[in-house]
Amino acid sequence: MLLRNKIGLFVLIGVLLISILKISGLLQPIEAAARVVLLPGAHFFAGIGFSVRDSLIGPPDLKFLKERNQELEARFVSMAVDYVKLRALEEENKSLSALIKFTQDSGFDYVPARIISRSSDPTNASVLIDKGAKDGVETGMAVVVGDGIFVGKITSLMQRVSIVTLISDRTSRVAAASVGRKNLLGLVEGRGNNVARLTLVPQGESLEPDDVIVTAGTEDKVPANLAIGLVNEVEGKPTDPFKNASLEPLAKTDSVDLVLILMPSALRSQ
Amino acid sequence: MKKTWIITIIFAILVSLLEATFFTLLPSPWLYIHPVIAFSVLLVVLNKPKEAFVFAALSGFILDLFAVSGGYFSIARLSLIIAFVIFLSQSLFTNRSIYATVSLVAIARVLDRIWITVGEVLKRVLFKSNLLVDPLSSTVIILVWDIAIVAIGFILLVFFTRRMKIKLSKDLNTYGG
Repeated sequence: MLLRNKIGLFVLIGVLLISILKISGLLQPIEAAARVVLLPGAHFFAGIGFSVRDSLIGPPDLKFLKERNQELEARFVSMAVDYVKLRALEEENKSLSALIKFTQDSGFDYVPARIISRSSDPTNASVLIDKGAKDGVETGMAVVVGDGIFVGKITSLMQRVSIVTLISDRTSRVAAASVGRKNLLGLVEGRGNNVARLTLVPQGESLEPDDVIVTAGTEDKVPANLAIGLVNEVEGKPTDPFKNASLEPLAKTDSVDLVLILMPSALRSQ
Repeated sequence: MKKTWIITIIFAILVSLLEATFFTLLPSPWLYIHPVIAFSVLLVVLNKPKEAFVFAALSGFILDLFAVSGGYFSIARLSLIIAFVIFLSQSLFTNRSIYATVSLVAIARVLDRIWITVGEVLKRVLFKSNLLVDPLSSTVIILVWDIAIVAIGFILLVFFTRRMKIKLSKDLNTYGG
């Protein structure tokens, strides 16, 4: 009995000691070294995880595919007119860019990163990526996928890894605008379960279903005009000071394994 | 003896990396497999309390390295929970049956849930952070997986190690005759 009490006391003291070391940050060098050693293992298991995931999900349901196809066709028709206008603007932009060398002065570098872990809680949409402070990453930097679709920001930084909070996370807040407009429109807030909403849109601002919502560029390290999502449904009474809208994110982050971190040229490591 | 410790450490690294990376990338319900506590309880039931404690502590350390959702101070959490499970296995659930094993893993998982919930409430109170507690349904699914792992593990251990089989000598006359 006495021996058991002694062992119990030893365990408690040991745990308390480790807790103090961790809170004070004295364990950080050991943690950093351990991450360096274990990161290849994490990569390996993450790679297998993505492969197993694809085989577990299997082919999508036919009925779901048909409904989704009809929905996308309807969206395509409504966006076709906008596409023509955008192409005209794009051509004009190309000529202006050549004259003022816009892309050279304020271009962005991309740092590719791989997702190695996700939060298992569906309300907490965060992922762990394999790039950290040593790779020039900083807190607040924008993270994109595909052709520059904004999916989240770096919110926590360590030497070799960092945490990206996705736009559907309940703590995520991103200043947003409507494509083609320069002024701030509202705030994209995450609601968990891959859902995001556009909130605090002044009643006087025009907002229609299928409007493309982009980043407003008012945040330090998040450039403007990164596509976020499409407006699904606008909500709010005309007498309310603000209206809200449900958003359909353009990127399905469940199946993404590779992301790009935007590094503004002003913050590029020398 | 040394071989046992090496196997324990390697096993802890593998299982914790699986819990921190591999299983988090799978869809539901596979996403809810958290094997560290289940395997720690199996080690306790195998009468290897020191190995179980080291397994839990090392796994907790590695889980903290790759924690995504703020981390729940896994090294302290798992160490204390498994220390308590070891205490229970030596005082209350002393029989090495599948029922005792399932009871121990259920207690461990409930304590785990309490720790995480209290942690989130404290963060809310002290740092005004958002209260982010997993829904209870996810803890139930995790517990179901825990029970499945320990049950299958226990049955396999009985077959392959023969540790928990009760052998009665033919000479023994239980009726005192």
